[in-house]
Formats: sequence, structure tokens, C-alpha cells
Amino acid sequence: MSSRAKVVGFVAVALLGCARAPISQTSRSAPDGAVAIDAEVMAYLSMARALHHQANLEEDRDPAAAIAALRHLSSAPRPHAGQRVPEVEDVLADTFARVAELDVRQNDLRAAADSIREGLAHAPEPSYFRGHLLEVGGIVEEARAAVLRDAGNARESEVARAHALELLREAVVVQESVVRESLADAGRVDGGK
Amino acid sequence: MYALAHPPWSTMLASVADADPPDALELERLVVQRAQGGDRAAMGQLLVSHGPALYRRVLLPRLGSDAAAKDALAETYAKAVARIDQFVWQGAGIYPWLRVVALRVALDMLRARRRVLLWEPDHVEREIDRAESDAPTDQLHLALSDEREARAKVTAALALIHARYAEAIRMRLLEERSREDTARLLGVTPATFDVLLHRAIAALKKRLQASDAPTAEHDRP
Amino acid sequence: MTTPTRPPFDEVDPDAPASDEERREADSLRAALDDPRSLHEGAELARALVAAHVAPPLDVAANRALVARAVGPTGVVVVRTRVRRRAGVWVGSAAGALALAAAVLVAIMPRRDVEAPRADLQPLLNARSTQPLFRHPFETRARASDRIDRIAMARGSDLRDNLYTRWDVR
Repeated sequence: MSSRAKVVGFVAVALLGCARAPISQTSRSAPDGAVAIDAEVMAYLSMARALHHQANLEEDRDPAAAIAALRHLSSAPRPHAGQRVPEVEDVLADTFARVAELDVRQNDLRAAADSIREGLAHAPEPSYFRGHLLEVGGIVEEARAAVLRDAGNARESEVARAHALELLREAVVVQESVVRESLADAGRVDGGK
Repeated sequence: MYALAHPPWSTMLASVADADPPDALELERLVVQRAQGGDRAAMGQLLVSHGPALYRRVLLPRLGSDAAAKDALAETYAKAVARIDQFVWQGAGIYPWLRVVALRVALDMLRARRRVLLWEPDHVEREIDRAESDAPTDQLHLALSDEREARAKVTAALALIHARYAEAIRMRLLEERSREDTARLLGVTPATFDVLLHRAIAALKKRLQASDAPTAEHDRP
Repeated sequence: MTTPTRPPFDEVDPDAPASDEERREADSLRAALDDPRSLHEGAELARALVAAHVAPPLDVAANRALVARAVGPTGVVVVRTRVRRRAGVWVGSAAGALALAAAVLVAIMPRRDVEAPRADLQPLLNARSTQPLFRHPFETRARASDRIDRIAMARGSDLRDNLYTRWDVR
């Protein structure tokens, strides 16, 4: 097996491992909901917004600069250290998904897989953000399958293709549950009148 | 080099407002959206913001007392919470809709109370009809219009009675002069002024009860 | 505006001598005007004139109590209340503060230094999942930055609410 195939193999295992790991292993969790929305939280969200818009302006001409802006966010100090702030977790999950997409565009599949793994740690529960990360993870695996196929490694390519389908199917399951839950919430509001 | 056909940046989310800072109306639209989604803090935010205007411009002038106006405001809030899903955003904010809810509550209370006040139930009914048939207008315009309407009602009511009675009411009640000062300015003793004011109020009540004609131009159908 | 027709002046001459009954009724009206709880019909009409001429503003605390009663702790259930009245005085139910953070116009509220929230006031809006912001029918043009925009805008509103809630602390 070529070293490149070993790398992409590691990518697959890492992605699938994260997709199936129980919450306790992937969550950087702390008690939820105990932090009031304050200037500290808003400063972080404002920074997130600014960096994402920087990335908007950079990504077509200089994807590496867009990635750098988003990595600045993912590595920045987070508000209320030691406490879980759901908004920060959701923003980071979304940011890592975006970075992964940019990494794929740059053909850096290993970095893309790392981004997905990092992002899934911030979205352990079924949510749009977790579904999106799984979706992008499936796309990363799809890209890996194509690389392996082009390298003449049909068997490994087929395994990667199967992994991609698994991730994409899991993404669909998660997003379907999100839709069902939001429809159920709407029904609870109506029923309460 | 592998060239992946990227998915669109979009996934499966609704588009949101653009990145420019939203104005107050856009912010309110988002709050209304949240309220209609069941967010009770958002619903409370709307009521706290608009309640004072509903009380001061719509309910208190029509119902005539703080107690009745607060009762009506409580009822207005309850109805607004129950029916928020029926509100359709038309670009003028939620106040016009809340105002109609408040007018309907006021109408019910006027029908039930049977007191002689400046607004008759059919006046309020016409106001509701006008509000529902006219194009939505913004809160400031409505508030100013309601204030003008209320002042016009007072002027029209005082025009129904003897000028000396109107003067007694204007000076003592609307200008808030003391009983003694008002009596002195009218050239009577305070005791005589008490009788004058009593007669003035009685005359006004009689004229309002007897009046079939609208007491302000806007009441004309 | 159409000028209303002046009455034919069939009322009593305004300055005619008063009967004993009229003096009693005048005294009754004077007393009722001094008592905001009075249900005297003449006083009610007098107060209605004043209310239409220059309506006083609504008490902020009273409004918050009314809002809290309407929205309630369960959120979706409409609590229809009729506040009890006695002798024309509005007596609100003794509900106390409910779990509601209300946005108050800065123009109404005096600005105060931010302090730690008092336990007896409305709780602050806490950090929570942003999932409810993204429940509407799907379109295909949203970008990550659009989602971040929505989160930041929604929580920006929460921050304002929390600041106004804190400014009410003393």
C-alpha cells in the first residue's frame, strides 16, 4: 500500500471514528446553559462574523488567505473558558466545515479530514451543524476515492467510496431528524393555543 | 490533479438577511419571526416595546380611566400572544396589528360598560374598519393620528355645551388649575365654582348621550 | 371639520343660584375628583376628558407585570386574566416577577452601571443552541457567513435585552 493510500486510509478511519464515537469521547463538554449572553460572548461572535466575511472576500482569489482567516477563529481564545457556550460551539462546528471545504478545494484532503474531525467534536448532538460536518466529511471521502482511483488503486477507492456513502447517509439521517424536530416544535406551539 | 465538483456553498438552510446592519424594522421582523416560532422572550419584547403606546394612544383615551385601560391592555396582550401566528408582516411593523387588537378589546369594553364617554362603540367600530381597510402605516404616524383624534374629540365635546361650562372644564380639568384659581379667574367663589363645574359636566353628559352625530370629523363614514 | 351645532341653551343658566340638591351634587363631584378610585359618573367623564386631552404614560413596572402575565413561564399557553378591581382601582394579581427578560426602550429606562443580576428580577438570556434559528424551509443559497450573521444578530439582540435588564438593578 502506498504511503499516500495509508494517509487517506487514516483519514477514512479518523472520519468514521468520529462519526460513531459516543458523546463522552468527542464532546468538549461542560455544563450547558449556565452562561448569560454578555459582551464577552458577543465579542467572540462579532469576531467570528468579521473573519467569515474576510474569508468571503478572499476565498475566490486566495483560498489560503480565507483558510487562514477561519483558522484564526478556530484557534482564538474562547469566551468563558471552562464553560460550554453553545453559540461558540455551533460557530466553530460551522467554521471547521467551511475550512474543510476550502481544504478540499486546495486538494489538501488530510487537512480537510482534520477539520472535519475537529468540527465534529464541537457538534456531538444531532443538529444542522453536525449534519453539515458529516455531509462535508462525505465529500472529503468522495474526493479521496477519486484520488485513489486516479492513482490506480481501485480496491482502496471502492472502500473510500463506501465510507463516503456511509457519511453522507448519516448526514441525511441527522438532517431529517432536525427537520422532524422543528416540525414537532411548530406543532407544540400551535397546540398550546 | 483531482478536481472535485464542489457542492454549492449552500446546504439546506434558509437565506438570512444580508451582512449590512439591519434597521429597526428589520430587527423587529426578526423578533416577530422568533415570537411566531414560539420564543416567549421575543413575544415579551414586542409587547414591552409597544404596550406603552397602546395604553396611552389607544386604550386610555377611549376607555377614560387608568384602571379600564390596564384591564384592556392585559386583554390585548393575551389576544396578541394567542394570535401572533396570524400576523403577516407587511413592512410597517407589528404595531398596526397590535393597535387593531387593542381597538377590538376597547370596543368590547365600551359595549359592556354603558358609561357616557367621549368614544361611542360605533366610533371605535369605524376606527377598526378604517384600520383594516387602509394600507398599513407606521407606528409614529398612527400614534400622532390617534393623539390628534383624541384632542379633536375633546374639542368637539366642549363645543356641544355652553361656552362658560366649556371654560370651566377647560381651566379646571384640562389646564389643571386649582379650584381656587379657576374660581377667581371666572369671578365666582369656590363654592359657586363647584356648582358651575357640576352643571358643566352634567350638560356635557346630556349632550354626549343625546348626540347622534359623530363628534369628530374622522368618525364620519 | 364640521362645526357642531351649538345647543339651544336649554340648560340652566350657568350662573343661576343653586338649589340645595345641586350644592350636594357639586360637593359630591368635588370629592370624587379628588379620589381616583371613585366611580362617580361625573368624575369618570371628567377623567375621560383629561385622558383624551393628555394621556399620562404607562408605568414601566406595571407594563412588565402585564407582559409577564401574558407570556408566562410556559410560553405558549395564553393566560387570560381579568385583574380584579375594587372601587375603580386596578389591583393586579400578586404574580411577582416571572421568568421573562423584557427589552425596554432606552429612552424610558435610565442608564445604570452594569451589575450582577439580582435573583428577584427577570433572569438573563443565557447562551443556548442556535439550532432554532435555522428551522425555516430550506433554500440553496445560504453560506456559512450568512449563518454566522444570523447567530450574531440574534444574540446581539439578547445582549441588549440583558443589558437593559441589568440596568434596572438597584
